[in-house]
Amino acid sequence: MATPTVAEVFSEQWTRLVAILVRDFRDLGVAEDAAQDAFVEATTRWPHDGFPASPGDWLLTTSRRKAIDRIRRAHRLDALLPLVSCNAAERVARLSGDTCFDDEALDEQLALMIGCCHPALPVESQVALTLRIVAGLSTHQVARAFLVSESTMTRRLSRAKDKFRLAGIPLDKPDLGTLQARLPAVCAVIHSIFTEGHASVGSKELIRGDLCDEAIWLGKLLTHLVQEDPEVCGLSGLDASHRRKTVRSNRCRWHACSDRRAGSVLVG
Amino acid sequence: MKYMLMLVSDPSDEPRPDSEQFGPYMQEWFAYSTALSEAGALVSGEALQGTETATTVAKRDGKRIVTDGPFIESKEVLGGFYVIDVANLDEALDWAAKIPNVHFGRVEVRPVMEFDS
Repeated sequence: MATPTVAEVFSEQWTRLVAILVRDFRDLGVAEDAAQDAFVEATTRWPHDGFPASPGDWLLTTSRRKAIDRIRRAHRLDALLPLVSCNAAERVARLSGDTCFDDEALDEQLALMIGCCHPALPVESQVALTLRIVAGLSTHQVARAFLVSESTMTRRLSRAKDKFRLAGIPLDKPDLGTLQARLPAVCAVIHSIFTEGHASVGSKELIRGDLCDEAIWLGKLLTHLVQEDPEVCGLSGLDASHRRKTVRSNRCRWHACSDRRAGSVLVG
Repeated sequence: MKYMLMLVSDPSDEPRPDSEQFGPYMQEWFAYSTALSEAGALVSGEALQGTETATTVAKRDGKRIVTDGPFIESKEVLGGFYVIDVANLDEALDWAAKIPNVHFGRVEVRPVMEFDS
């Protein structure tokens, strides 16, 4: 298998990484900043030092250290660092291939998705947080998706993260009752991202594949995290309805993923 | 975390003291307060007299201004509050949803500001 790019690692590892950091540090802002710091360091170090054997472990160790550094400095950066993110075209190409997810920290990733769609947040903030925190889009990309300025989106995200912290919105693994009560909101957010991609008000393009692909990716992640829920299963329909336009199967990659997953099952 | 549950309702929606529903309604409040207390979540809670008994005070240019009535006139009024101490917002919302007059009133849930000591 060819060495992955940092962008590929980003797409596979971002959600898991943020979810674990949220569990450890109990703060969305700290988790988001630390994960971003780690990717910034990866983009400068990996091309020189070579890719680590386990990029996920490297990122987790690095981002934990970054988070602790930040907390020690008792200093939260409001101005976000230059964002590590791949460009939209790379992302679309990757997202439209067969997706595999890291099987670690599934409970934490589910808690993160459920938390970002908490009814105590306005729906527009739920959507923005889901795209930024769960899907890992940059603030700039989220702003473009909503057709608002980057500073407006920065304020919206920062208000949402403040409410998270100040109001005590939980980021724990939901119990079954909470999960069932809250899944419709998560599905609604994913549907609205998909719909926005298809009928984007005010955009020149009729269909914005990038948003549709994000919605499909989020739907796949949720389906992966929660199996056997009829509403969640319905999300796979997003893919089918969109696939006619964007299908780009990547068999090699798919096999690599299934081999790796099979391997991890055998190893335990 | 501490939260204040602010109970807002139109007092004319409440069962009247001479009605049949009044006794059971009071029992619900008693049971609710007991449940909060037994769960170790109750910090404090009070019911307030009606807004017709309210007096509002302000100070402008060093001068005290006292006026009759609440600071804002509306049909729905703050009728009482609980301060509870629970793990997170979801637990606070669960307690808020069990308040006896939530069927016709509303409960605003606000985190209490914590100051570093």
